[in-house]
Amino acid sequence: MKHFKSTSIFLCLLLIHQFLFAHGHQENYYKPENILRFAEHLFQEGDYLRAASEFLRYLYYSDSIPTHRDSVYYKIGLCYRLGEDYQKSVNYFQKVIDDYPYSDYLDDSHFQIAYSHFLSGKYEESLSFAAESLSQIKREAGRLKLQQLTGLNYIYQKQWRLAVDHLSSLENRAKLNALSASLLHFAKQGEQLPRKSKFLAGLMSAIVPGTGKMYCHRTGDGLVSLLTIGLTGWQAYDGFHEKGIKSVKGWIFGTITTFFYLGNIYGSVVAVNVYNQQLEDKLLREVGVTIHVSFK
Amino acid sequence: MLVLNKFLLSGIILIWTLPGIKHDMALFFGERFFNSENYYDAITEYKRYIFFNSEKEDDSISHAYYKIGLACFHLGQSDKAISELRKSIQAAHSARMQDERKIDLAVVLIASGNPKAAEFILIKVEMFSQIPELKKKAAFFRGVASLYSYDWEQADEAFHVYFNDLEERSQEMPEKLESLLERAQNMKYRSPKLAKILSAILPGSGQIYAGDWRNGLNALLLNFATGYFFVDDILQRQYQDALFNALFIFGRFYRGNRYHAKEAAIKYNERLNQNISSRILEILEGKYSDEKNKRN
Repeated sequence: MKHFKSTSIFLCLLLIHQFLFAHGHQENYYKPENILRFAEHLFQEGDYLRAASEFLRYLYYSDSIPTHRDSVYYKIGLCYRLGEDYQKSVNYFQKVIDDYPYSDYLDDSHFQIAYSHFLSGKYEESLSFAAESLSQIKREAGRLKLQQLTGLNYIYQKQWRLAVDHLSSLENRAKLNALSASLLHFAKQGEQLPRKSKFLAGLMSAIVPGTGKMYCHRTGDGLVSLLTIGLTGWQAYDGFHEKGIKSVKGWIFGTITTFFYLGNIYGSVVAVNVYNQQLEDKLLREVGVTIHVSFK
Repeated sequence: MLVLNKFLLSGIILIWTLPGIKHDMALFFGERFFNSENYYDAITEYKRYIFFNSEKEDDSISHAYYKIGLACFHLGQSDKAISELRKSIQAAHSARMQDERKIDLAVVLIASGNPKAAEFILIKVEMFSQIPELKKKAAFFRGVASLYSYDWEQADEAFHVYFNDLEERSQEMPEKLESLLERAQNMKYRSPKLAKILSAILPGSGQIYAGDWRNGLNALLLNFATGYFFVDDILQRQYQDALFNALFIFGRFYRGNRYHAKEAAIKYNERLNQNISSRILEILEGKYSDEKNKRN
């Protein structure tokens, strides 16, 4: 009996030791602080959507602990913004604004919402949100970023004049900022792009087929138009010349020539649109690189 | 009493000696998610394991990277899968594990349409691995990779290595496979260049040479009809009509006919390759699963 008791005690101790041993060497992954560490790691690694889930898990597991919930919500918003889920990012930044009126992240959340709208291509929403937010932002740096974003929205809407006016109207100190200066420079460049005239291209193609396209630097297209219209027109002329107004050949080629001729004028106008758009897109790509660096 | 003590003690020893991997929560969840095809969450858990155990000096980190790679592959992210499998090779501590992972990487490369890169890795395993079983496995997959790049000679050589292993004379290369590979090496391809030349001399003949009788006859008829009008215009001295015909009707059909002759030959060769390759793969699939069953 005595032997049984001592053996049982020994076994219990061994089991307790085993339990402690097994868990002593293994990190408790699901402790809130470890979840937070892992979330930060995923964020640094660029795995933003997974990081957002981990930050949320952190909040769920540590319901009563963190005093910095606003910063975590802000980080979640940032994860979604960088993961290109803009609707969710706006929701989380809005949560910081609504639930934490004294947060340090208030100004940044305002900017991030406007910027998320901008990145999702909702320029009007971005503009109106930026305008509403300006009065609520306390820090000058925050206000400047919103003003720059407003200018940027005008640039992306290709409202060059408005962009120039807005960026020129900034206070002197704001104007001296490198980003403001380069945005103003881009806006001025956009206004003065060597665009082609649709009217002139149409007129040129109406007088000499294909020349409207050559005016837009599409010489090959222009020559093909000239040759096609010239040859079909010649066939129509030949038909009418031989058999007069009753010539079937003349009417068939005449109709084809008319379609080609009208198509050539329309095509020249379209070519101008494409040309101008390419010019503007090239400039916007340069702007994109600049803001990618500045607003990241 | 003694029996009970022995039973309890052996239980304790069993628990004591279980490898750490079995206790790990992140790996446990990772495997569970992976097995239930929830690959996104499986990746999160494996990443968690790697983050908290990066200092570990066993093959568990390599295993985690390997599973991430497979999960990425299942999610259709081939590039990520390849990069994770490379990490898995780097993290492997034993030579055996490294070689196994290299073969896994090669399989993913084959499946993602890059058999040449797979061949390169497999050749290295065959040359440098110290484990005969893995050398053999690498030879098998090198054969498969060669089938995908239609390199019949290489495939033949690789399967000979696999089936006629010096140490295991009992395994013979299946007769059917051998004859198919021999047939593949003696296949008569159609030359795209010759098809084009033939169609330039007699329209449609290139397509017929490539086995496309229908399109060949169609091309012959169309070119004959339009060519007749072209020659007739010249004989009638109607040079404008002849020019128009040459540019827009006969010329287009003639050029199209030459282009399609070349394409028909390319398609013919591709069909031939695909047909024989899929027949060989069917045989291999049967043979491989038989062997696997035998081993199990």
